[in-house]
Amino acid sequence: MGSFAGWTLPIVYSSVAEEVLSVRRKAGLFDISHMGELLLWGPDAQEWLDRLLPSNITALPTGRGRYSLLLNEDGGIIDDLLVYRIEPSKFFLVVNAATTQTDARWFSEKLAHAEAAVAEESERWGGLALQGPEALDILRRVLPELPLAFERRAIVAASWMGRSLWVAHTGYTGEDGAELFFPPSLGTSLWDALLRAGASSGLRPCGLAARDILRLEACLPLNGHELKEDLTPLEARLTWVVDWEKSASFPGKKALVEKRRRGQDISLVAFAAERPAPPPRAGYDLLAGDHVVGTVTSGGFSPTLEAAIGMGYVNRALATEGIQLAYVVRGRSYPVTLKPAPLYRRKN
Amino acid sequence: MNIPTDRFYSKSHEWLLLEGPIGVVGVTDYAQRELSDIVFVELPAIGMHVRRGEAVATIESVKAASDIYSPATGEVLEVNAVLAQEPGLINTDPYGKGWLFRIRVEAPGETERLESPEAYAKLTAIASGAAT
Repeated sequence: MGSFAGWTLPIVYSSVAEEVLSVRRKAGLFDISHMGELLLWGPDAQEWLDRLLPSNITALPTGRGRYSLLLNEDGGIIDDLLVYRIEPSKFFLVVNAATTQTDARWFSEKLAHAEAAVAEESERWGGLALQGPEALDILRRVLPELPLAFERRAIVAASWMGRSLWVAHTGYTGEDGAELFFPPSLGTSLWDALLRAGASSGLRPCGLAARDILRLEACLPLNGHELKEDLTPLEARLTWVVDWEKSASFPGKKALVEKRRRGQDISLVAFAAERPAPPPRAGYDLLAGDHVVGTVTSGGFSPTLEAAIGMGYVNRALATEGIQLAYVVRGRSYPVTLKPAPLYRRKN
Repeated sequence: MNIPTDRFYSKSHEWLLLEGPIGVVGVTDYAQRELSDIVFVELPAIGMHVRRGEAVATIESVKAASDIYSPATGEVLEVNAVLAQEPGLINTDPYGKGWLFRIRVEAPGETERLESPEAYAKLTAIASGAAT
């Protein structure tokens, strides 16, 4: 067990490597109750979300979700989140544990004069992530009402023990799967039922350490590591999140347009070590010869790729696939090669 | 907790198995469990002279890097080169295939400063109790 943003969370159940591989090959079950949930609703909810987020929310249909960002006026990333439209004028936002209160305050200040309200509902929602190639089959054994056509990033209501829950076809592991949000009292029965239903398919409980390696292999950024307030979607290679064309302006748009014109100084890269190497850890320098050209933001040993891997920011001129850099641990230099992201991509 | 009775133990969770004048060194089952997934090992250079209690190797797990202290004084004769490719052997077989290095033990009397299997079992039982 370990502490994370005020929550006590399981770090590892058996072995990080075994948990990672079970998600890649079969399925894994994660407790993600620490994630923050906000509810945003009202006649102006859609219009205001379009003015507050860089994504196009008007184009988001009911029953679907979208990955987006909270940006400050400089275009800096306050948080990343999933926005689900659960009713035409009601949105369910899933945000990071450490930034839940910040995000809730940010929305409520922005919505002070809007015909829309925001509620911080984290205490009211438990969360589980069921991830892996077998995940949806296992889930259907427990929740047979799930629609057959369940598209990526769709969100549907389901029921368990007479109470309703949300099931979203999403995840943060680079694998197929679902995330479930439910009243906390349902947590243990749902956890047990899923583990039982998945036992024959190789489902195993997984901790936060496995989740971190899985998202790293898939090059999914983590707030506090790849995402920070002094970094924008340009550095973080998240410009696909930004709808430059939509009519609504949004915080940071002006700064981003200007930075896009000028070009940013640094870019996020993914890399892998060429030979056995200690895990590159956040904060390590990335070197070209003797020159520090970047910093590691996340790193670890990938059981899937059987190599030390990482992500980090480097001078933009060097942010090219195939470039060789190095990091130093206890006086020894370990070479790495910049690789296309994601480092792991599922086959189907 | 597996604690073979054929060897000596240090309070910092290394083991020393004597084969005549040669000592084999590794980390204990307790240590590998505490470290969890071991992903990298840095071993001492062959020929290096090490002192008892000196940090001579580093084991990196998912969690952190941990120093390994030599349980005996002497010259490093051989290191377990297989660990470079398969550091996880320390997790799966800490007393066998997961050995770290062999050392020419200069002062066999040093073993009196180490723990017996019984004493080490007591020590780890207390540590486990305190951890929960």
